[in-house]
Amino acid sequence: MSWPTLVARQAVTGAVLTVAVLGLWCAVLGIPVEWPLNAYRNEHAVFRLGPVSADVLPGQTFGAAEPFDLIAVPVKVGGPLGSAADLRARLRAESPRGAVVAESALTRAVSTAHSFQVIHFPFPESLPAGEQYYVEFDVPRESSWPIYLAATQGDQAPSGELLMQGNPTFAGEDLAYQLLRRQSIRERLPTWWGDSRGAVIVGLALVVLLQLASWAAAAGLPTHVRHWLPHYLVLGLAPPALLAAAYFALFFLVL
Amino acid sequence: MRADNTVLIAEPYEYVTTALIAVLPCAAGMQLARWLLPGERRLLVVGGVGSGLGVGLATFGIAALVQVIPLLVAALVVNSAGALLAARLIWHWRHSPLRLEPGPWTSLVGALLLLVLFITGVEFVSSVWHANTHENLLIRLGLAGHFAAGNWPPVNPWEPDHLQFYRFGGQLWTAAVALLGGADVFAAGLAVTLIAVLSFLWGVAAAVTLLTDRATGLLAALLVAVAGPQNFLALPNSPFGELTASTVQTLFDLGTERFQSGYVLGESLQQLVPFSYTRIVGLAAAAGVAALVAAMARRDARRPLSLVFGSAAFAGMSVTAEHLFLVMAAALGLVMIVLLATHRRGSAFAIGGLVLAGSVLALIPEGPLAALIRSPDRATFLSVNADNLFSIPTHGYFGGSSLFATTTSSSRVGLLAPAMWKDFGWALAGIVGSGLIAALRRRPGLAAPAAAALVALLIPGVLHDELNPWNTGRFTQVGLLLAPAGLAIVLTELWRWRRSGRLLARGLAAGLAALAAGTWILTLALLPGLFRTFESPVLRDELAAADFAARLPYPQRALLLPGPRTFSQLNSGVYDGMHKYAVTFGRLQVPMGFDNRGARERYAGLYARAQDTLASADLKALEVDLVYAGLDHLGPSQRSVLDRAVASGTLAQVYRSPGGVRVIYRVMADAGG
Repeated sequence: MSWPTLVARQAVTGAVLTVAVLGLWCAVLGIPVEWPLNAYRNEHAVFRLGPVSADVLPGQTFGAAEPFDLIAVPVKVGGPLGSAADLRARLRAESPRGAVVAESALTRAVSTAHSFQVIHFPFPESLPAGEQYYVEFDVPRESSWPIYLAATQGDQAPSGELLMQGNPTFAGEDLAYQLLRRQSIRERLPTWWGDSRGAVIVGLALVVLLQLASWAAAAGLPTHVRHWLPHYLVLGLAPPALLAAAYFALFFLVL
Repeated sequence: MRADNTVLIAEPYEYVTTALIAVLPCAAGMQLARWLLPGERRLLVVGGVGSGLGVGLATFGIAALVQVIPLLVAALVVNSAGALLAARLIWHWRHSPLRLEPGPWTSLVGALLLLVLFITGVEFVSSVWHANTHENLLIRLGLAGHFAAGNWPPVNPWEPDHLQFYRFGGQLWTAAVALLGGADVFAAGLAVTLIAVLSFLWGVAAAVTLLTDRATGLLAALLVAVAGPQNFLALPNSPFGELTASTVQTLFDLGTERFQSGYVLGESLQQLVPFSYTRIVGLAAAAGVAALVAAMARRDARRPLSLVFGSAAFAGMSVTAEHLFLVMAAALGLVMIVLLATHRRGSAFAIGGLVLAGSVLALIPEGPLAALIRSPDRATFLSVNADNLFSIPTHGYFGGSSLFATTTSSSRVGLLAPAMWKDFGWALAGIVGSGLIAALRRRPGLAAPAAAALVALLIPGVLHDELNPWNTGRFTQVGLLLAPAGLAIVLTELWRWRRSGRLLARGLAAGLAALAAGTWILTLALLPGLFRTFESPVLRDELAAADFAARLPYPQRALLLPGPRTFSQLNSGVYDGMHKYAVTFGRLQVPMGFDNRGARERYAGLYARAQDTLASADLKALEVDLVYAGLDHLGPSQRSVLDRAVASGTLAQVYRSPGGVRVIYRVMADAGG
């Protein structure tokens, strides 16, 4: 291959690679994913609540420190594997007697081999922070299988309490729930920076070090191989972007 | 020490002074290595032999001298000698520099080393401030802090009437670095950890380079740094997601609390850093000795001098991590037998002499071997039988329930059992493969790393610790840390395959490397999670109270209120880990009893009673001087007991932290209550 052709090919592949790398980073930073806003402090405190039914509606009061878009609750549908039930989360202001603020669509829970299946109940629009809410779960009256939710002991959610049919249960009991917010990493960064600056600095330093290692690896390729590839500074951009995309896919799409 | 929630917990100058002092033994060791290996000019080899040797010599020198002179003087003597040798190295470098031998991958090696050291730093810092993980804060830095305050002979801060006669070489070195650097033990521990990891990896690279070539040596060091169990293969089937809406959050939580789960990155070098950093100090010395022995076997070294310095470093290693003594002695014994069989008697006797002399020298410091020789009754908890020779213990060493990704019901698993292949297939491939290569090529040296790994894995099948079975797990860990060196030999052999099936061989090499490094690569993304939260929400108050306690005359015996009473609570972060900060940074002795081999029975009942009553007689029975109270953790009944003790004059407040959550009381000698 003539030298000008080789240079032209390197320029084209370099440009394609640069665009691909930028595309990957944009995807990783820009695609919205669901971030949990709370976690159980002690998973060992989780117990099975129920069976719940249309006559004994389970609910939980809670305060939201951040705006949220979904609520996720571990659900167990009794009966043979594959048995299903359609549930709905209804959000009220402050208490069981408060006005309905939002309602999720019917969401199917299926009996699985696991003890619980985490069901996401998305609300039609984002709910504001700083309010006190009450969430209750509609259980279909026609369901022929017992349905259980997960609850916790030891006041895992100090801002609220577990209620059954509008009445508080034992002190310190809470529904096992997680509020989620749909945001991209780029949108989430300011929150992380405020909450845990050290973690953000470690993350950025890690990206920089991986980038340096990637450039060093690209520069170390044998000359006869590098002839066919873009300049090492361009080539070295690819591995960190691919790694970031792989982590993103693994953590948010596969697992 | 800074008492605020910043990443830089110590003053900036402390990081500089401690790093300079910690690097001194390595530089001195390099100069020694130049004398010991007269024909060697490769920086990789001389640096690897020298830095590990220097670490071993420094730990031995300090541990030996501190028995007759104060620690500060011992540190000054050892570091002055180190400084002279380092100066000689720099002076000599002008006329006869060591060769870096830059190749196409030099920049990559540098970048990866930077990455590994960065991760090491993050893991260590996190283990102290963010995750408070087991031994680092509990006893490693704790004992170092007490050494710096003048604790000699080495009293166990959790059992202040008893000596801790084992595993303290690394803590002594940390204390020496802290004293000379005018720094806190945290900054000194960070410097020591970074230098020890660097020396260990450099030593491995040098040793394997001497056995094979530079590429294999560098690959061995890289694999030792990143190899871990093949947990990543089990991730899709893991129970994550059963109770949480976000697997990534669970993994992040495991990132900070991995030691409760042992899942994400099980037994590996990266886990050793936050768990028990001083063992890496011993490993660094072991790597230096191993590299020196490799040179001695090749007749590249001045034998008499090598014997002297090698045996002293060997003794330093034994004082720092006593289980390495057995592994090294057995592995070097094997090397000696091979050398005798191949008619290289000079090298064989030199190496045998090194082990013998090292064993004798290891008796000089008040270390584990000396203690066992002087008081054989201390060894009654050890039993020797070969009933389980070809099996390893399954318990997880780093606090997890199992060594394996999935818990097994059996307490032992055969070395070649399916569970081993599933979680440590690369290690078995490395041991078996490099053994085969050595046999086929008739180069016994190629089997040395695999033989050492195998010896370490077999020891728990022969030696049993009846009191604390976790101790035998330390041998398993060393075996798994050495196996990557054997794997490196297999991988380079496969990569350089020149016969048919070259593509297949290279694919196999890449696959084995991926198996070894897969979990590390996965864990990289979770690293920022280690800095997510501070373990103590009142760290500022905690450190301020600890600072006050540390300024009191040493020693002060304290009762913690509330505080752990059991061994598992001691190891946990109960009450935000208050007890660990009080003992490590407050230099307080807490007479509550520590481990199985200690005197827990003597203290446990008395300590619990004193916590319950705060009565003058109960406090005096423990000879307690102070009560260190975490007011934010006190229940109503404990609060009223405390109020009564203050009202009756048994306790008098001597300190209250700025936020009012930590209060220190003096036990009044003349109180009647």
